[in-house]
Amino acid sequence: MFTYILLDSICKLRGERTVSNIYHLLTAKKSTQTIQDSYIYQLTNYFGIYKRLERKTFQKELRHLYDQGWIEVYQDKQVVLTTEGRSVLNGFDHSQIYLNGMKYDNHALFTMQVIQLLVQTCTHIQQHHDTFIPVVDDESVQQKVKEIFYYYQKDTNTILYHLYQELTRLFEQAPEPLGHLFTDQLTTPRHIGSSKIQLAREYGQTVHDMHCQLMNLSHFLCFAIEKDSSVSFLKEIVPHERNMNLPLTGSAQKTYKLWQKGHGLEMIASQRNLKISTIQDHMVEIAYVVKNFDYSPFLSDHQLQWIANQIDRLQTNKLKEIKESLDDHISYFQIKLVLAMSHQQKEGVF
Amino acid sequence: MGELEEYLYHYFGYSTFRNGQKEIIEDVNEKKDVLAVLPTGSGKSICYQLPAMMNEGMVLVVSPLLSLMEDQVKQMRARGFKRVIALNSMMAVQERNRQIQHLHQYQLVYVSPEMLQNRQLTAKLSRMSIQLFVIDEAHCISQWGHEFRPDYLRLQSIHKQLHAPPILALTATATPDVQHDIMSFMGMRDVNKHIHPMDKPNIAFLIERVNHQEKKLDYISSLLSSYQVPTMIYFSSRKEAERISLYLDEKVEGLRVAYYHGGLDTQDRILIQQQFMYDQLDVICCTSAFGMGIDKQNVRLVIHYHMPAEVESFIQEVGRAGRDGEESISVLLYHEHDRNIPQRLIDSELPNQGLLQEVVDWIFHRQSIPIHEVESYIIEKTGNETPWRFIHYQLEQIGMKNNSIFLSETYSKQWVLSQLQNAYQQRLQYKISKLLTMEQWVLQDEMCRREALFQYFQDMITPPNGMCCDQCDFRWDHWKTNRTVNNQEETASTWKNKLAQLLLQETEYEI
Repeated sequence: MFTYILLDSICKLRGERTVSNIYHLLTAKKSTQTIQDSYIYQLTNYFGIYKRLERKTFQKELRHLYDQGWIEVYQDKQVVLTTEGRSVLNGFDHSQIYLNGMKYDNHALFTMQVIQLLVQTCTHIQQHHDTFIPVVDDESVQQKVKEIFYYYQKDTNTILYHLYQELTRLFEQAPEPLGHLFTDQLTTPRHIGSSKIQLAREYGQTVHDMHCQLMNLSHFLCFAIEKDSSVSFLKEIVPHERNMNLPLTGSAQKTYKLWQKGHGLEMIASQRNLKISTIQDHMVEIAYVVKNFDYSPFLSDHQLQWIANQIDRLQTNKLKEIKESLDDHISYFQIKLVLAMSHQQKEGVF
Repeated sequence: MGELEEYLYHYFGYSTFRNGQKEIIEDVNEKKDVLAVLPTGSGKSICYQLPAMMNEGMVLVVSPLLSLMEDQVKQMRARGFKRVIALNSMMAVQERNRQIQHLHQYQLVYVSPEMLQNRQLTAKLSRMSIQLFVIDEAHCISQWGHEFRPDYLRLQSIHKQLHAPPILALTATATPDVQHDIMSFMGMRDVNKHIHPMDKPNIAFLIERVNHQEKKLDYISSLLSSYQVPTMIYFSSRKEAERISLYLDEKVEGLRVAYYHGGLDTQDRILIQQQFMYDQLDVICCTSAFGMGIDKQNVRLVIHYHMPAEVESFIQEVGRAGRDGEESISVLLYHEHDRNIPQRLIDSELPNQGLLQEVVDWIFHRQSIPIHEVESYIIEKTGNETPWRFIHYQLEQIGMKNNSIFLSETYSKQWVLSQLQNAYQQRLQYKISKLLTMEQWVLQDEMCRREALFQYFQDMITPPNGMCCDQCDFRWDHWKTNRTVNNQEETASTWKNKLAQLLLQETEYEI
């Protein structure tokens, strides 16, 4: 699956970006550039799905693709698929991929870990093992499990029964390996769950493939919990609260807050001691994720229509080409804004 | 049952203390300064955990081992004691500040030595009542300790700043010289010393020299084919640990093997540790990152695939065998090229000449430079924190450190460079002499291995209560040990059945 994701990313970037962009995408290096690119090239699904990926490993994998004759790398590090690479890509069955990185980001792992720790906690308490080392270290996950446990008044039978019912229902609709992978990871008093590396060995996959599989599993869970109206218990314990945290860089978050208070771009720039162009970049980021983005301070309706038409006509994402087809007084900033908003219209994201 | 035993039983569920614990706790409770040298696995931590639980005031524990601190916090919380926390510099700043503000809610606080440079923290601590100042791994204070940590040298002034509470200095390995260094440096007076022998009577020592590296593999696989017992195999490289783990998994029928090192995900680390704890795994192929926080009683075999860089580490790692007192065995495998491996580790721990020159040039060129810039540059470049700690400490000693910057004025560049180079040479020589001592032990064939190993630390050895070593009386066929019980349940074939088995074990719902 990891190979598929790499090939697919390379294919979608159409040689217009370098390999580093893919690395930043997978590890969710939250720069304005990475976020904008992932929208422009429809790669939001892979955003941050492999945060622990080391650059060394990443380069080794690319080297492998290159040795197979699937990709070509130009002098300036831009990368494209070969014909063979393309046919390998087309040969993958991607119908079972549920990844949606930009949307679920940290929520997916959180959901997965809450369920795992809840199972460990309830089975242990139920069988009178009052002390155990939690398999999940994360403080926020432990807190959440505590809340659930007390909310259900320590009724382990009920919690486990609901979990069984709803998880079975979800995994029955899922591709075969997901149910297996999920249960193999669970820890109860009689059995400690399998680690990622052990699962990789058991399924005859590389650790990277297994990492992606497990991410896919967690994204499937989020997706299914959201879509299936009958899994009310899971919906209640791990709801996906939209727009709680917009996928923005930290710096863009701050700009957005000031903007919401009614501060203008120049004012924000001077308050934050940043260049105006940086603040403009933040606004573009915001335009990708905020619904009904108010563009009126930057664009007239007429300008918006005009730029949108040109983008439509040229069918490109290359800013330079778009700019050249328009009047000089239209800025790159304005073009980027329109790209962002038209993307939102197309995808209906968030 | 005495009063202390009652507390012990109440908090830990044990009815008796292990050797040495009670005497130390009694001294601690009487507010005396204590130096304790206790072998690995003898339950050092109870000596300050119990006072923290039963007395008024907070116990502050300085420890350099992040994973150990975190493991202990987890174990204490699992036992129901929640007023315990570990602070380290890896945490997000906001989270850390929040925890510092609420520090008074805790009875037992673990900190890393570099955290004690945080002024907010020391200010908060100096306003609290601290009943005990614990220095874990106290040998790090001494230049002659095998793991000298420059940041430990700040403990003296910090201890004063916190109104000099009683000290408990703990270590598993300290020669008499090192013990002396610890006490005089910390200004400990009327110290009650509790020095326990480091040798354990139930561990036998074995050295196996091979003339070809791959023979190590044959040796281990045939050994583990005959003895399927809880085993730790120590490696000096992550890669080798992985490779041999996969090899054994394929080669030895029915053997359950996994590897563990600092490069694994947190969750994978927890799972592998727990699997080993509960005998779901027979063999762990690991680096020195494994084992510190683990309290597994029935490890029967500790194998060193590579020779460690010094005797102290070797003794600590071997000490993880046979905590339950059953007869256990240490095997060290040696090939003549192995000396190059610790040699390389030593090189990577020290800044090389080129880096020293580069850093000095840089500071003199800029004249003043924020310390964190130098820090991140060196760590980025060497991929290791130790060279940075070395340079930081040396520049501080020279007097170039001024709050959070290095200043070059008033010094001659040549002089600074030569100071650094001298310090480097000294450290290097010291490390190499440690390595040679280790190797000497491996290569000597005249003396009993047990006597030869412990001669640097103690005058007498405890007579073994089983076999001694391959120089004396060791024979494999005299080893009586039991196979690990395979407590794996039969697992169901489909995920759905398995899920039911896991989640609905005790409920009687219809499936």
